[in-house]
Amino acid sequence: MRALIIEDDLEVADFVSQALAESGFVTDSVHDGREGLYMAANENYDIIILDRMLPGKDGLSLLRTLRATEITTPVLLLSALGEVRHRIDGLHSGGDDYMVKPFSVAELVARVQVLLKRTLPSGGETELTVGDLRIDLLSRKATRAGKTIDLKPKEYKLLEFLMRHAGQVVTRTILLEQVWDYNFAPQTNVIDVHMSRLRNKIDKGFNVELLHTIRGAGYCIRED
Amino acid sequence: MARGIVSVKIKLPRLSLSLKFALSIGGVFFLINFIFEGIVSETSEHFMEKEIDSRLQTKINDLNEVYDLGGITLLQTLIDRRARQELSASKIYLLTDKTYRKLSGNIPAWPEKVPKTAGFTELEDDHTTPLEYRFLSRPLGGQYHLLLGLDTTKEEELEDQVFIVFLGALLLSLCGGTIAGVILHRGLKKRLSLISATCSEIMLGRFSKRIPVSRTSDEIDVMGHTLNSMLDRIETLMDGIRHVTDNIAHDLRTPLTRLHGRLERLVPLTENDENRKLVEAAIAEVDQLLVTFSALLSITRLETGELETNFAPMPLGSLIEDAIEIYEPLAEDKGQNIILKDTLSGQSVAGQILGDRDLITQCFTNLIDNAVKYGPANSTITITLSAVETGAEIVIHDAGSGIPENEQSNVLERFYRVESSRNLPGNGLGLSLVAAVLRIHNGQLKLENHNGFQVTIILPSQ
Repeated sequence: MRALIIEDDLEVADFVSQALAESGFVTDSVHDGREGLYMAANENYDIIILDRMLPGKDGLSLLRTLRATEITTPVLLLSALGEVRHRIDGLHSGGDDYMVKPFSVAELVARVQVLLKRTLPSGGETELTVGDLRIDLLSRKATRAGKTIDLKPKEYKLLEFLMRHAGQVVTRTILLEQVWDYNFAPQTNVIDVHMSRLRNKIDKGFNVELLHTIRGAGYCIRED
Repeated sequence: MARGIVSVKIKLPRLSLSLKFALSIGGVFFLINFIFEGIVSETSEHFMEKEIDSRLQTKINDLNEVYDLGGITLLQTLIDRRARQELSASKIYLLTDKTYRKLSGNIPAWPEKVPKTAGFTELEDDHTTPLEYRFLSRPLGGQYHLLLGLDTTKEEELEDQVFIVFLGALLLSLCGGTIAGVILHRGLKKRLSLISATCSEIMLGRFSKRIPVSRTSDEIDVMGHTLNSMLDRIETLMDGIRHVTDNIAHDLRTPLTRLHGRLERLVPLTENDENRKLVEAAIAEVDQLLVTFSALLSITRLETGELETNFAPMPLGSLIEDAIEIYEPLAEDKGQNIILKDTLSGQSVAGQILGDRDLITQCFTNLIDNAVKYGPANSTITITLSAVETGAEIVIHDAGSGIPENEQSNVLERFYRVESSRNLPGNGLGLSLVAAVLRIHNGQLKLENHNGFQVTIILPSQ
């Protein structure tokens, strides 16, 4: 996997690059818009991390140029502008996701994983499995080792999202956005309570734990 | 209980200024006319009475002279003749002896209602006769009494007519004055509504709006100019605040990002478990700082009208259900029960509440968060959604100890925390954000201690 980081703040670029490298990416970093456009157009990247405000060429116009030349590489925008309207502008210009500074690097890596998964064509599957946990996408029923797990509608949605991204770290912010459609963080950390409910339902009474808490990052569902 | 009421909305006047204006003009017209007519009618009445009295006096003097010159016989003859001539009964003559027995005249006897003393007597219509008289009696030389009467019916009729005319004039002045008031005020009202409408827009954050001023330079235009200068000043101040918040946003976010990144890099490098916990706590602290910082920035942007909102019809019922759903596990852990009573859904007003979905949802989660946090364990939180005259009302009630009344208006200010809750987590921005969001929605917010604590929100329908 190759990632291009277009960010004028050298330190931010550096630790984003390092974190992505740790997750198995080969990264290139450039620090101004013109150079970024050149690299994005001439190399084959799987993901582009793009700062919205850049010297040389503004991030959004760079993005529009890329999309106009039919380069469809997923783009994750970084910005110090956090308003809804800025977010909407960013997504309208062809961005696939939008993160507001200051962001956590773990969050960024998790979002990149979700983005890459999203851009893969879905195979029209009718069920998802992780170990002996299985959900039927048509009847919206979950079973573990053949035993039915009784889930509330939101719990099902939560589990489905986690299983679609099995093996990936999913952050609380991503869950709020994807499962609850909330673009803000409630004052109290409500996600952790939901996750512990879900863990009780799917892991309790089984030897193998499937739902893992990743410290400082979020959650991950996986077999090992 | 009433002290905690914080109304964000301007109330409409109960009695319209226009009506008051018209009625008071009519009233003044009425009063002036009333006084004036009173004076005129009193004066004319007095004048007519004097006129009759002097006629009676002259006649009686004449008759007295006849008596002095020719004695009682001559007077009696004269009165007989006069009485015969007087067929219309518009004049009364009566001559009696000293025991008031009739000697001559055109009435049979001394009228009962006329006192047997010298002087004037007014005899009103007593239903036995339709006539009204004024009498003058006088003793003649200690032997006789003379009584003269003049019919005053015509004078009374005149007075009555004057009274009717005056009454008509009075009513006319009341109506005329009221109509004039309405017409006069209609123009005034139109201009005042224009000012009011502009102010409402400004309150919703459109600080560039100005009050239209005409070229007539009357008092309202002068007021418009003054208000506009004030608005220029407010706009300058708001620009200042906006500028500062933008700078904060740009200048603090990048270093905070670096700080976060450095701390995150430190985690895997820290072998010692205890040290790693410290670093993780520092990361959590930066995260919390970020939440506070974003909330503060949002409130400021809402207040300066800079935050662009996306107003659309809101499915209030399902927004609340979602907010309850996300807090339900947290409440259950505390043994709390959240009940929703929704009488709004299905009513026509439900589809007429416009708002920014994200902001309103944030209000709901903040309020439910507070109710769960400050409500006691094993209690019930009740959320009621209903239609009211002006729109939709959302009441969130918990069984907690509430907010002391003298602190209720303070909690809407940024960073203010009630003394008793300072040890609980929170940044003191939750209710400030709710108040700011409601302000741009033209809504109302009410805090009450009411068998616990109760927050009432009213969102206006469009």
